[in-house]
Amino acid sequence: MRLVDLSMPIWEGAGYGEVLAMPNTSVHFYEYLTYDWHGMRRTELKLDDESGSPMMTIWQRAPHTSGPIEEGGAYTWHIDEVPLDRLILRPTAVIDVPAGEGYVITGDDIDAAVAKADYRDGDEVLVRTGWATVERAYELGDRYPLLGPSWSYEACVRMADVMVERGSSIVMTDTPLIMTPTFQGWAWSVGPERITPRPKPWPSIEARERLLDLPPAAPNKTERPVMPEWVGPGGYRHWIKTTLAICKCLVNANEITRPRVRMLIVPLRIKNGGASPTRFVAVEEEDF
Amino acid sequence: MDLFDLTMPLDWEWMPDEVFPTSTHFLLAPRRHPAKGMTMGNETGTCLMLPSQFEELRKTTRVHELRPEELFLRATAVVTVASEPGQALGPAELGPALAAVDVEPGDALLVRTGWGDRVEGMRGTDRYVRQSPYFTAEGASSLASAMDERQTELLLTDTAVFGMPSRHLVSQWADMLPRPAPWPSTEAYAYLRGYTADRVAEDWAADLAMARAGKVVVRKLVNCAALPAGRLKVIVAPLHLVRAIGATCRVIAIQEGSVAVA
Repeated sequence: MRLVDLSMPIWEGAGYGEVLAMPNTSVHFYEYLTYDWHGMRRTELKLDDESGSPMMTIWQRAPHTSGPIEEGGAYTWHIDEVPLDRLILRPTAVIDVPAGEGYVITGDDIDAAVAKADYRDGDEVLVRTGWATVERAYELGDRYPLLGPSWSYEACVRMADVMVERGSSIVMTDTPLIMTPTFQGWAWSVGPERITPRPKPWPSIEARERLLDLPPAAPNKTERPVMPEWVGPGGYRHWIKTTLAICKCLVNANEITRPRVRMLIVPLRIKNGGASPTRFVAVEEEDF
Repeated sequence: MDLFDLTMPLDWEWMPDEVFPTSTHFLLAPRRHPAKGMTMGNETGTCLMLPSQFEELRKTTRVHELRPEELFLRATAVVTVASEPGQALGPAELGPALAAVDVEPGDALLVRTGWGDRVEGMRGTDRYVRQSPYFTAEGASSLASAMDERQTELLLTDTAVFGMPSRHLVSQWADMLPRPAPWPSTEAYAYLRGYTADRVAEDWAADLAMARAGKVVVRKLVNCAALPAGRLKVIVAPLHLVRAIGATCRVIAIQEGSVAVA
């Protein structure tokens, strides 16, 4: 048995918390007991529910919302309600979609990768681009989520359909974002109207002003700027309706040597929560 | 395969472990709140604490350096030490309990006192921390020696604290009426300015003894009464914090079944 840790580390200033105005806010550590004064260390941690490698259910934004982010979801568990047997030692197919910097995964990429994978009914899926490593995340800093491969709307829809056909409920991927950086960061960190120098995310005054400027959205929706047609729609909300969880920003999946693994998917136990930084560990076994 | 969740829920309405000024108030703030996201401490809820929490051991392992084999699917022996509220656990209590258990070399130890199964009944009070069983400095030393003999460094327990900080924090802070809020209150900030290294060493002598022996302590487990006696596997999944000395974690036990305890 071999274990491969696929969890993105969490550190102050990590790129995933720096490039969007609202959805994924900055990581801050504040030391309030210190070695030099107290002989002991304690840290106040300010995280986002999408920090590190997050597991995201349809209840994202819970517990402070009255409903899920989409109606009609196939799975309605909050993150603390997901039965442990849906998280621990889950049979998982590794689906290879080799992708480099800036690549946007297409529906055809998904079809080709699924055809090649040892993907069995009921498996969860780990869609691996091979691009994401801890070293790259450390080196690229806040450029990491903007440069990483991501998913087109068509790829999200195609993968959602395949997962329904195969009876899969959880998707994991090593792309830093699901929807493209262009879609998520338009007029903030991407595009001709991006803000230079880029402001800090929420609760910066620039993030507050952005919400004042954007067309209002329902409490379970996301405010978006007007974008050119070529940017295309985002596929996350379509996908989450048929999945138990979408998990992104995994790392070091390139270290997995087998076509199928058992996954340990271990989020925090947040009462009535919707999303959480999560530990992902792949268990490789000879006879699996 | 039977699975047991041994994790204290992160409850945005009330956390039972926010008594001392050294703990951070858990805040789960909604969208559009200035603190959107989660604010917590290293010790919030079920937590793993490393020897590097102490200055004299600061050159030792940090959370992001722990290998997955040390934490995930780790063979573990369950040790039962039935305890009364507030009971001090020393060599006299721990020795017989350890002697009664079959421990293989390298097994983590899970010491269950039953305290973690009583948290819900203490809702809205400070009893979970104030009346928790705890390990004395002598108990810590004997436990560390027993762990050395069994070639293991990982201890899990269902007590709220490892050592009870009776010398300073209990009398100077926990006994105050009304008691101020923990970190980041103004009162906690003021108190901690005078909470110097010598006082820390006196209050946390048991924790320091374990740290000096190189032991990693996971505490505030819940639901341990449901565990079968004997050996099983545990998953200890801390937040993957870079250079941290401890972290909130999820702990899950797996009873032998399809996964052999090797």
